[in-house]
Amino acid sequence: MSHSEAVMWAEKYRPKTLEEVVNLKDVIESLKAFLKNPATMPHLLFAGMPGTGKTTVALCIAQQLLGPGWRNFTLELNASDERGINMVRERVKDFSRYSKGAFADIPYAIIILDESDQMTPEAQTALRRIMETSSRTCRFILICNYSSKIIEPIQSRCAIFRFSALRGEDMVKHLKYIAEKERLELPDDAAKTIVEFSEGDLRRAINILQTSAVYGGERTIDEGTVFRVVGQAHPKQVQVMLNKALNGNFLEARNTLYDLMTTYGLSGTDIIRQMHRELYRLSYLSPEEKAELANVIGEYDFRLSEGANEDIQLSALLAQFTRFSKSRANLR
Amino acid sequence: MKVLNKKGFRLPYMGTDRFRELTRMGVEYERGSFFIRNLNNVESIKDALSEILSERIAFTQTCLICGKEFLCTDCKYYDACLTRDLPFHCICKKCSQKNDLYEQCVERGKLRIKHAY
Amino acid sequence: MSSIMWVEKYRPRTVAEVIGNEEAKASFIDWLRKKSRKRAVLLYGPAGVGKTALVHAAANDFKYKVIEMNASDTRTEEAMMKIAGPATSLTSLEKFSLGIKGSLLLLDEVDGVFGREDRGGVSAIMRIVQESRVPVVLTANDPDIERLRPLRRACRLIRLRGVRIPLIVAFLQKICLVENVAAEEEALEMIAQNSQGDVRSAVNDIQTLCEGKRTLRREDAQRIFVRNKGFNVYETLRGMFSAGSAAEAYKVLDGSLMDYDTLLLTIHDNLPLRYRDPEKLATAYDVLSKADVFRGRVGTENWQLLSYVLELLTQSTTIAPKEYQPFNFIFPPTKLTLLKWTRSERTLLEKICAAIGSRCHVSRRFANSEFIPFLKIILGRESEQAAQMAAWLGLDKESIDYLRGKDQQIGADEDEGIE
Repeated sequence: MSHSEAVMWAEKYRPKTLEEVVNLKDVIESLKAFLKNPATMPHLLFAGMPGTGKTTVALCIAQQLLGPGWRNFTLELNASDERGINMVRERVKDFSRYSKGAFADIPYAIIILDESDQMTPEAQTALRRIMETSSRTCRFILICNYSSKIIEPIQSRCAIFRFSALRGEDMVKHLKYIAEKERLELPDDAAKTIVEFSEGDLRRAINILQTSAVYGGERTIDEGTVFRVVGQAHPKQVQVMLNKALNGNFLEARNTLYDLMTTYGLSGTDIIRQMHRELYRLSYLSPEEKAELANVIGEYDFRLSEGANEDIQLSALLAQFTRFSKSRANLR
Repeated sequence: MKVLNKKGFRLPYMGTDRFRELTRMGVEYERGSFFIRNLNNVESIKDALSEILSERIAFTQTCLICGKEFLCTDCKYYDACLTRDLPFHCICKKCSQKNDLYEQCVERGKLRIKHAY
Repeated sequence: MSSIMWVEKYRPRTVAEVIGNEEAKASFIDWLRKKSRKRAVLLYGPAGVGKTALVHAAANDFKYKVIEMNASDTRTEEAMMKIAGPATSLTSLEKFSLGIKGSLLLLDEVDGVFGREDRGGVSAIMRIVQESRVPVVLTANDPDIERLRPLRRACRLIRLRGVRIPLIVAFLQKICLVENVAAEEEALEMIAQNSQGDVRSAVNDIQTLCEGKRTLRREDAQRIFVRNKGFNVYETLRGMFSAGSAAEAYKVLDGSLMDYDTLLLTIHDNLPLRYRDPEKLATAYDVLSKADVFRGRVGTENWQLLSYVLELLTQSTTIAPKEYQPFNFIFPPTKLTLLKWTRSERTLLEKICAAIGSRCHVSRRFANSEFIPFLKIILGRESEQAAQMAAWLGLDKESIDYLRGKDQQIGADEDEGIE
């Protein structure tokens, strides 16, 4: 890939082999043992926060196990993209049928199922059966954020690997490496700011880096640019809106919402995601309260995807938050 | 309010973009004069012309019975009409006083078809 | 006492007898008579304005035999072919397209065929249009020409509109004359106005009113139509918000002239003014959000879900009926609410997310929250880099424009010019 070709850097600099992955030493060591003797590899479960290398490692395994034609024998699925477990079953069925022919060359086909903790327990039960019926010809690599959300029967059939978040200095190193390759200057302060905003998610850090480079247009990435980029992508207004709602001030919260939707052009899904994130940062809520509100957000996230009007769904969500403030006040 | 006859009207210079837009909508042009034959999008045309002329536009109506051109503004159903000021056929005030309106419309219609074919 | 339907009895037998839409009539005859014409024509317009009537009348005038087919009844290609073939059990289109000279194929209400579920219905129609050697006439109700896009190139489009009031009055006058009914002009005007251009319904209405009577007075017409006068916006809002119960609010809703989409948005704007108490507001909004969800599910097909939308709307305005206090309504809906998330925008966003998802190994949902905000900036300014990036992601121009925030109407059609 030449430097002049414009692609997402998160993809361009994704390690292609396990050797290239710099951190996760223990994970890599164990996996290498399986790769030496593929028949011994069970299904795998990768657990960890976003941007910690789970998909990368899964793809590396596929490449290393299946050789140059690996794409033909690898199926990538995302739980949120498929409409229900039946679709997953269909796709797995079709896939195993198709890849049956060339099994002489490879030990098995690989199915990477991302966001598996977003599947309901019922769906996961069905998934376990699918894993079983196709285990002669396929190995599953399940990816999730929280392994606790994966049902026991699946966990017991998998080798579980935890992907811990990168340390700050490792992220900075990685970012500087990319900057150098892209012939850019990344001063320390800008790098630190990016790392801060990325919250342990290397992919997001790289996206911020790339966006800042484009936005600033200069050889040197300026810290101010980073702020501006993040502000545009994740404005503080979300926090403001949340606080207003929790203070019982519906109309002002709704105005801020409209602002987010018009001035910042955020979509309903953007806003809900950020509300979810901001919720956990609020110091004046107890964990139980956060959990309860997160449930409400979840409910409205779902309605958002089905409904016709985003502003109605989000206003309704804000109204629920406003009610919450009142009941809290009553308890005091 | 500007009155236009769909069979021929003039417009001030409007630039190539607008001209192309009008043509796409169905307005035709020949020797300095514009006319509209295809009425499928005449509502949009009316709006566009209104913008170009910076004025409300009213097209003339053609009477089904006497054939004369007249305006909607005199009509008693002006407020309720769904297609007012658009260039269609209708019945003018004078003719609407007559008795057997429908029959007359039909007769005139027959003649029009005969003449065309 | 007449035992025959007046819409049948007074059906136009010749083109001259069809009232209204003179221009469309002329255009249609022109199409029919010309040898060098597009093989198919699409007559579109609201119900009851004379589309099918025109076809039959013209066929009568110019001696064509009409072979009729209701496209919404037959869905699969096979079924359509069977019916389209003449009575001698021809099943292949080839044989059919020899056509009986002097016949004309009428496919009524093709809107039904162009839904998403149709297996082969669309392609069947296109094949008929392309291969038929006899003229093909299609009719459609739906003004949403967007869905009928595949037909644009193949057909001449002719639009029919609601018939104007003086013409409907004239027609009703003639009917009353023949039926020996003394009708007050004002009564006829009311019927005509109420029909909103739909001649068929006007004729049905007048038959209903004249059943067993010799006179038709203004009061008679008025009594039936007072419900149809309809509540305007303020009456609707006042009625719905001040109603003592959801059932009462429903009566208002039923008699309202407002379309439910506008009503949904208007209620949304006014809820916080009606309910000051956060508890009640939250409850009302929860209900309204459910109404919106159902509205989203209705889409273009599941009309039966609409009843849930309406029911929920009435519930949302009557949460605490005893606590109603008059307030100034917000109307029309605030500008933002007019930026509602249209279906085509949603589909476009899904398309973009799918493209990102497959390139960057993430789900569509993830792409939406984690990539789109950045991509909006990266692709924000036109540059060679941006173009390359877009190409790498596989984004088309529409997607790029959308990410740039261009205020284009997604999916807008270029208006048809003269062919």
